[in-house]
Order: sequence, then structure tokens, then C-alpha cells
Amino acid sequence: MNKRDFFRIIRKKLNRFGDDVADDAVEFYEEIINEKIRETGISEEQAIADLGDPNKLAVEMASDLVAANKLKNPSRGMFWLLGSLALSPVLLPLAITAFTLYIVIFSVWGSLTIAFGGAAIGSIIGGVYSLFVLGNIGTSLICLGGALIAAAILSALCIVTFKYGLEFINLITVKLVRKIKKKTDKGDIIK
Amino acid sequence: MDTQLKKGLLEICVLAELNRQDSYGYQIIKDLYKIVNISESTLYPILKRLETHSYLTTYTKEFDGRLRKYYRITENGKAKIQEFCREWSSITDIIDFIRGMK
Repeated sequence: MNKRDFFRIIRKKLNRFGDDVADDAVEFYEEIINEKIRETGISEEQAIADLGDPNKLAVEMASDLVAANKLKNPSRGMFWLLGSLALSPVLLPLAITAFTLYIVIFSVWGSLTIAFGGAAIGSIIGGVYSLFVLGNIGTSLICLGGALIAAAILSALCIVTFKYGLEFINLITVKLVRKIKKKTDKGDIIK
Repeated sequence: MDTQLKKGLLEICVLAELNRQDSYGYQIIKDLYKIVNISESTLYPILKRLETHSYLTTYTKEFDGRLRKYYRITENGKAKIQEFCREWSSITDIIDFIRGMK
């Protein structure tokens, strides 16, 4: 592998943390490669091979960054996590856990939204129907009252989701990433 | 060696290396490799962490027509080494206990 391919892989994996983060890492490794070639006279190919798998290096650096909570965007962190998990079969159980957790969170939130949204719309239709078609003001008021309650719960749900939901997803991501780090740490270090 | 313990020790080793003289990535690895297994992928996050905690600063210097990033220990970093050395006596007590000498 030559330098260009090596750094292309590192950049691709790190660019979601910002160009400066990727640049810094690339600079560090490039300097090491250059110094090593100059001092020991080995080929560029060999110097790069000595560094190990760029995918693994990038995952290690990225998991450090995620664990340090440097995540600007929780959903990016989530996709990064799922993507990096696919790299190694050792991480498959974790990938399944992460995937399940995300699915559960989204489906619970989704079904609650649909349930209360549906209840609100249904009650409004019922209220309007009983007022104008059946001419029953009492039933109509009960229905519209119900619609208000459902709408209130729905908006509370949305507020809570935006306020705490993303943080919660971030928390899960960071926890899982720490687990990945422990696993990669074990297989870490030196040739 | 236990990874967490090793990481903590390596941080102090990097600081100790910089306490002797300002140094750059490849040189740090070469010097530390004499006493402990350390790879580039281990060193990089350590340097980042030490920089975040302002135990070290960096500057770039030209050497032989190419740029090198040098790392320099700060007063904070020196204090960290002192702290580690002070803690060491209590660590040796613990090790004595583990060996059953106490």
C-alpha cells in the first residue's frame, strides 16, 4: 500500500470529526513514515506496512474521539458506530445490541407518536362529525376535549424527545464505543 | 501488562521523555521502545490527551528541509510527574501487600 491509499482510508474514516482532526492524524503518521524511511532506509511500502491496518488505526482514533465526547452530531456517531462494528466479526454481538437498541428507541418513539397523533385526529373528526352531522354538542365537546389532551401529550412527547432523546442516543453510543475500545485495546500494540 | 495500567504509565513515560528534552513523534517512540512496547497508534492518542490536559504544547520546526512537530512539556506536565513520583511510595506499599510482604 502506498501513502496515498493509506491516508485516503484514514481520512475517510475520520472526516466526520472535522477536517482538522483528520489533518492532524495524517500529519502525525506522515511525519513518522518520513522519519522512519530517512533513518532506516526502508521502503515506503514497508514503513506503511509497519504501521498496521489503516482501518484499524482509524477506528482506534475515532473511538478515542467518540469516547472523549467530541461528537458534534449524535446521529453521525450512531452511523459511525454501526459502520465500524461491521469491520470485525468480534464486534458482531455488539453491533446487534446497538442496532436493536436504536431500533427499539425509534420504534417506541414512532408508535407513541402515531398513537397519540391518531387519537388526536380521530377525536377531532369525531367531534366535528357529532356537532355538524349528529348535532350532539355534548359528545362533540367530549371528543374535542380528548383531542386536546392527545395533542398535549403528543407535543410533550416531541419536546422530551428533542431535549433528551438525542442525548440518550449519544449516551448509548458512547457506552458502546467504550466497549469497542476495550476490545481493540486488547489486540493493540506493536509488532 | 494490564492495558489501563500500561496506558497510565506510558503517559508518564512520554512526559518524562519530554522532561529531558523537547522531542518529536518518531524520536519519542524510539526512546520509549527501549523500555516499553509502544506503537505509533498507542502514542498518538496519548499525545492528544496530554495536549488536551495542557501537560504539553507543540511547535513546528524545520529540520533538514522538512517540518517536524515538536512536543514540549509545560509546568502542568512537570507537576504531573512530581505527583506521580509522590504517589509511587503508596504504590510500592500496595505491591508489597500483594506480594505478601506486609
